[in-house]
Amino acid sequence: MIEEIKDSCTGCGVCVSSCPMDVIRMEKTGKKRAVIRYRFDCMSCFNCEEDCPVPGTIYVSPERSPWVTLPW
Amino acid sequence: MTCSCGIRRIHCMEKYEKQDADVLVVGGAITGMVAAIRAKELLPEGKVLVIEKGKASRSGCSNWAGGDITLVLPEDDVPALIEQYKFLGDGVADPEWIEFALTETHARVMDMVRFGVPFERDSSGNLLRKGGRGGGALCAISRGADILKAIRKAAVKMGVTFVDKVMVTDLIRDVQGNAAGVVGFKVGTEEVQPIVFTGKAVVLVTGPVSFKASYIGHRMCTGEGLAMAFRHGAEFMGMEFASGHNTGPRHFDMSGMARFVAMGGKFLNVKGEEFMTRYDPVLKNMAGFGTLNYGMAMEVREGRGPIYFDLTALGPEDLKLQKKIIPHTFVALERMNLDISRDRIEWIPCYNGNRASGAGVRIQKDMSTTIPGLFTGGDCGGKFHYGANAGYHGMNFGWCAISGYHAAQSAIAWGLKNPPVIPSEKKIQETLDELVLPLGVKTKTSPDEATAMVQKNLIPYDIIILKHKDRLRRAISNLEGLETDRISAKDTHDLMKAHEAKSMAINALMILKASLFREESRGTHHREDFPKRDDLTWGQWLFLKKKGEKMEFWTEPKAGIKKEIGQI
Repeated sequence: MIEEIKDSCTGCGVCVSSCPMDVIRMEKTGKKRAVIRYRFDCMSCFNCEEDCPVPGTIYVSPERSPWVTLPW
Repeated sequence: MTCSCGIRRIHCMEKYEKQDADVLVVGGAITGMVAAIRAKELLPEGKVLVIEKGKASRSGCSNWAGGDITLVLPEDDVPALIEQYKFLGDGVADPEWIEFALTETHARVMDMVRFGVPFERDSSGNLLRKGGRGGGALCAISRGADILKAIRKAAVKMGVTFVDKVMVTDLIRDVQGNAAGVVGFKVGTEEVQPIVFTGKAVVLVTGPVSFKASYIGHRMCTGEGLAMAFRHGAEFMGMEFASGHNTGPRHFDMSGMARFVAMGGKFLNVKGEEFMTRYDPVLKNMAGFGTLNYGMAMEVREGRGPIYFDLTALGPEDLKLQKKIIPHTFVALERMNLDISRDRIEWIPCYNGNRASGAGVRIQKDMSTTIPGLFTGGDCGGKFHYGANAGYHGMNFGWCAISGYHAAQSAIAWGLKNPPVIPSEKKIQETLDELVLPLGVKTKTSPDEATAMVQKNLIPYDIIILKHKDRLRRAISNLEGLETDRISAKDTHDLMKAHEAKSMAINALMILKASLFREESRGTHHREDFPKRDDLTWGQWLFLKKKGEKMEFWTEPKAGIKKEIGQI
């Protein structure tokens, strides 16, 4: 799951656009920046981290959301 | 948004956005974008819309795939390949469809070269081709994400209009029953913003239903297109074969297994045995998904689990190629502190629903469905050429391009002959009322709870890998108890998830019920109570459609002859 969007976020919105799960939204008030709104819906696809124009701003952990049912 | 009747209804909102186009393409991965480009080639002045729940080119499961595409060259031995895929399809793969799906790959890959897709090339500059798990034709090699980005760029250049971040929830049909548009709402907004799209032709290519299960980049594939088609009475095929799984790590997600196996990856049980020699003495670790998952499940059932994937034998050149094609896999490994030259990875089946299988909306070779004016393809459509197995290396990418291309051509031809009548405002309002329904429901079932219920009654290995009538009936009964009209949503994010949960529930029931009726074992469909293949009764496809609150099932022993199997 996505763990962090650092203060180096410029608020460009690229991560919001590329997230297929609507996990990231733009902050509603204050500084224009992206925030993690629905972390547990993140599927660790790395789109946001790969597409962010400021390297090191977003960190995604590969660990899967705990609610996914496994075969055993 | 509260009406005087006390129910939240869309008609209380003053307006909704309307968009009209010549061709509507719902779904923005390979199939949809290839369809849009073909539509634009045929109608250069026409308006072609691609509507996507995420961002077209950054959504759809192919974005995270290795990007191998079946490429059959004119000098290849096509009859021999057809025989191979007939064998892989376990008795129900149609040779005419196999030939169609193989021979057209050359033209569609050449299209992709024209679109700017960066393929790996040999030292002479020719497209590099490699084999993979399960045998079959050789594949051109690229990276899924690069393929999608290049195709989107080409589509934009041609004038295709993209409408990203819109979840489509239903079809609109005109008074004659022809598909005339779709309705949806914007994803990522604070307030509900519905949109009504109308068009002369609809190409519904929303991909598979993967049930938000454990495989990288699949959790947006929740089967909305399949569910819409079902609710509108489309015929479906082979839903019991939606039992295919990819495989992956137990604790995180990564892709690339198919090529890793071709490079020397081994599946081991807890004793360190290469157990796949028991289940497929010929292909062993390179066995098709059906056999691989059956083998893994049997090892666990018999106490020889857990299962590990051992990549310690991979050479430096292989690792270099993999790092180039699937970099996120190596990022994931590093962040999990795993060194594949040293560590084995605990490995499990990762359910993919109907992805890369024969299961889906019943289609003809022109990609038409049984709903007039509705065309499909990719993983939304069924695939007679797959037969009973799933996940043939590289074939799905090729099929997405082929089916998208033909869906667009057929949709345009149909739309020109049968221009739809714009549906009445009343009809549109009714559809929009359904769209916002979860926001007005005040019950205890959240989208997360509904999704969990679907997963728990489908994904456990003793339901979908090792099937038995008692467990299938119990799962069906449990899911029929899920009142999908009573799934509630508290905001727009929840509204998306509520519709996803509804779609998954419908799809799960189709899969479980079809699995109950096919009383034999074949391909990915393993029935413990009917362990043998029964060609006399079941050497044919099983079809289904909605009938009232039930589903009706039938086979077609000969063209035009329908044999009722039952209703449930």
